[in-house]
Amino acid sequence: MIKDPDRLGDVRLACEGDRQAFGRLIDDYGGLVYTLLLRMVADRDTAKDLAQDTFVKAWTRLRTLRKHESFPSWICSTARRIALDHLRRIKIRKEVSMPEESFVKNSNDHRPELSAEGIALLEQAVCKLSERDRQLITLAYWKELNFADVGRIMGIPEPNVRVYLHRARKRLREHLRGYENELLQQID
Amino acid sequence: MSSCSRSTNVLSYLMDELDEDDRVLFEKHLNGCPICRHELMLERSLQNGLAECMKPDAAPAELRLNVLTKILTVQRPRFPFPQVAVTLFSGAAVFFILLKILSGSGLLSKSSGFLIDVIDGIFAAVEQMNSLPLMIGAAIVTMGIISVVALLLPEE
Ligand SMILES: [Zn+2]
Repeated sequence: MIKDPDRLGDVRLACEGDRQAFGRLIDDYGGLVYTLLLRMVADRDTAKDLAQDTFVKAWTRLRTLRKHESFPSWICSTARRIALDHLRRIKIRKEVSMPEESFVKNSNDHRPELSAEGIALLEQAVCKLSERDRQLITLAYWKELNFADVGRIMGIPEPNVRVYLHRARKRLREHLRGYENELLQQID
Repeated sequence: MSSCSRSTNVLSYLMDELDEDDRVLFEKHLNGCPICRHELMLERSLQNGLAECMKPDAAPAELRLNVLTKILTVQRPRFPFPQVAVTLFSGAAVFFILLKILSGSGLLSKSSGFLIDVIDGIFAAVEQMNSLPLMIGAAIVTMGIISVVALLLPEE
């Protein structure tokens, strides 16, 4: 949900055909779209191409957006559909697994509790999750989206988002079993 | 390390899923149970870690320029669902023609007589329009009406 009136104004202007306003929306939401696509297709170049496709498609269909404040979830849904189409086309949907390289943000700044080692363990565990769990965990921790948005993007009812997230977190813990002490040592 | 049967509540507690009574009870339990406190500390650190490392990447540097260049040549469709209109139009045409054939062959029962009268009326009217431009004009008007209806349909 958008609350910032300037951003909301940009959505309205873009709906009316203002390309500069649309450019500002790309600046604001390009990162979300790209990250979601990257987690889904696990390839940087493909994610870049699909991010472009997402915004071009969004431009042509922006007039069908009824509620301007739900632009973030709308653009993420568009991206998700484009990624699913892509995965279906290349028919390796089941085989797509996260490669060794981590696609989770790598910067070392501002890590309140876990150290670099702890984060690396966590990233590995996230990569072992199913594509669906990865999408869910990715979206659920973005402050730009609430659980209702996540539900809309993933096509599941809002109350189920919590349930699925709970299960995904449990599976994440399973993948971290045996590493608890390493994680905790980082906190002390 | 030994385990505690109530440590399964830790994640629910952290995700704010326990109702008021259970929450109070569990907080009391937490005070006396080092195993659950340890588990809570771990889950909380994971939660913070996730929130931190799930932060979105920056958009690719060239994304904005590429998209803005591309949409200069992409026309926004004047009306967003031409496919819907074409589908509806051809669907309706097939439906009418099928009904005409069925009514001609007498396969339809008497109960649908009114419908057949309406269809016959439409076909009679079409036969009156014996010039091709007039028929194309009528088709375009029909398309226009369907387009306006499709435009008013909500997306998805
Ligand atoms: Zn306990």
